[in-house]
Order: sequence, then C-alpha cells, then structure tokens
Amino acid sequence: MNRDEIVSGIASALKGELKSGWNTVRSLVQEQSEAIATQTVMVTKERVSGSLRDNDQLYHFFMKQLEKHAQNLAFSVANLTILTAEKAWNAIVDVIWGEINKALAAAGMGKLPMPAFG
Amino acid sequence: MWRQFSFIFIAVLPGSHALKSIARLPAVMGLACLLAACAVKFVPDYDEHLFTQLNEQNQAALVLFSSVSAGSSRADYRKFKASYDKVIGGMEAVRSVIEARTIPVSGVKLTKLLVDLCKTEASMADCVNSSSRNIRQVLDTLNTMRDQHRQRGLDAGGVPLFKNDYEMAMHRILVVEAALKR
Repeated sequence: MNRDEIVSGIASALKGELKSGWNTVRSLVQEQSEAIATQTVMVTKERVSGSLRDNDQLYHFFMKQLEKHAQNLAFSVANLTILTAEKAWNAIVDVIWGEINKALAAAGMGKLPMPAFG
Repeated sequence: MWRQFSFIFIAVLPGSHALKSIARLPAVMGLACLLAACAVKFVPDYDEHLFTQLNEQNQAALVLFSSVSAGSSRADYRKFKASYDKVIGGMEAVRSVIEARTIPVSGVKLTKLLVDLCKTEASMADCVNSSSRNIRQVLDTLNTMRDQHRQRGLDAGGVPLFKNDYEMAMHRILVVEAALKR
C-alpha cells in the first residue's frame, strides 16, 4: 500500500469533484438569476402596457410562477450541493477502501465492505 | 447583484415569508461574489493567538510522543506525569478558546436555511430530487398556456413570458439531471 498514492488519489478526486460541483451551482445560479430578472421586467412591462393589462388571472399566474422559480432554484441548489457532497464522500471512500482492499487481497484476506455514510 | 434580485423577489411578492427566506439564500451563500467583490464569512476568523497556542501545544505533545517513542514502562510513568498534565491541560485551554469563539451569523443562517428548506418529509425528497418540483412547474406553464390559447388566444407579447417561464424550470431540470451522471 502506497501512502503517497492514497494522498494524491484523494486530492485529485476531491479537487475534481468539488470544482466541478461548485462550477455547476455557480453557473446555474448566474443563468437563473438573469432569467428571473428578465421575466420580472417582462411581466411588469406587459402588466403596465401589454397583454397582461386586462388579464388579472394570467398576471397572477406569472407572479406566482416567479415565487416558485425562486423556491425551486433553492431546491435545485440544495440538490446539487448534496450531490457534490455525495461525490466527495464516494471519491474519498473509493480511494481509501480501494487501497485497503487491494492490500488485503494481495495478502489473501477478505475484502472490507465499503463504509456506510452517517 | 444577488442582493438586488433578492430585493426584487421580496418587493414584488410581499406576502410570502418562505420566499423571503429563500430569496435570501443566494445572498447568504455569498453568491453575490459572482459579479462583485464581497466578504461573506461562513466560518470563524483566523485567530493568530489561537494558532500560536495550537503550535505550542502541538510541540509539547510531539515532545511527549518523542520521549516515549522507544517505549516506556509503567514504573516510568511518574517521570512523564508532568508532561501529560502540561499537554492535556494546554489542549483543554485551546479547546475552550475554539468553542468560545464567535461563529459568523451568515454561516449559521446558511445552515439554518438548508435545514429549514429540507426539514419536512416532502421537502427532504425535493432536496435530493428537485426535478420533481421543477417538472410540475413546467407542466403548470404548459397547461396554463394551453388554457390561455384555448380561451383567449395567445398575444405576441405573452408568448415570450410563457417561453421564458418554461425555460427557467426546464433549465434547472437539465442541469440537475446532467449532474446525476456519475
């Protein structure tokens, strides 16, 4: 079992997972923020002088949708954050238990099961 | 910029307490950093005095380990008692400093928001399967557009509202579903 290989394996696995996870969240939030801002402006404009001026029902629908977009974006961010945590956990466990089991197998011993989270 | 968007959400939808909390989430998370400099903190400040104490106590502990590295009999314990007292007492002092230091409000809020967001049985599922909420929103948009079309027709100015509305929810689904490939 090579200690340096374990260290570099964990470091590279984590670096990749965390960077990728954060980039996904960041670009999602950035693009969604622009879209929500655009929709806010468009709905207001249509309410003041466009197709929503005499359509209360549809105006209220779009306002409710804005609320849902904000809520659902939060859930999507939470989802991606949990996914990133999952990937980080699996990356670490794969490297460490992979090396342990490799060494145990070489010694003719049985494998250790992967640890459960929590 | 996120503070501005949060303000927009709060301003246009004043009745929703949940929305206010959720609208604060990106700001709390420091996503304001996207387009502007920011200094949000989720974890405690660096404490030079604490760091110095830690190094001193660490050094004392390593000296103790070194002094018994060749093994030490039970009879020899008396020789090391003072060292144990010094190391353990010093570490206890460091622990009390660590536990007493100020925790940033933003970090506590972020934790609370995530806990609040995912605390009910239904929202727990949504926190790990957000596409469920988003696909329902896609369907709300399409159903409303169809009903509008059928009842009043579609105005050229209204179609982009439906399209943008649809695209926002679909975008979230596509991003999350693509991320699930692992």
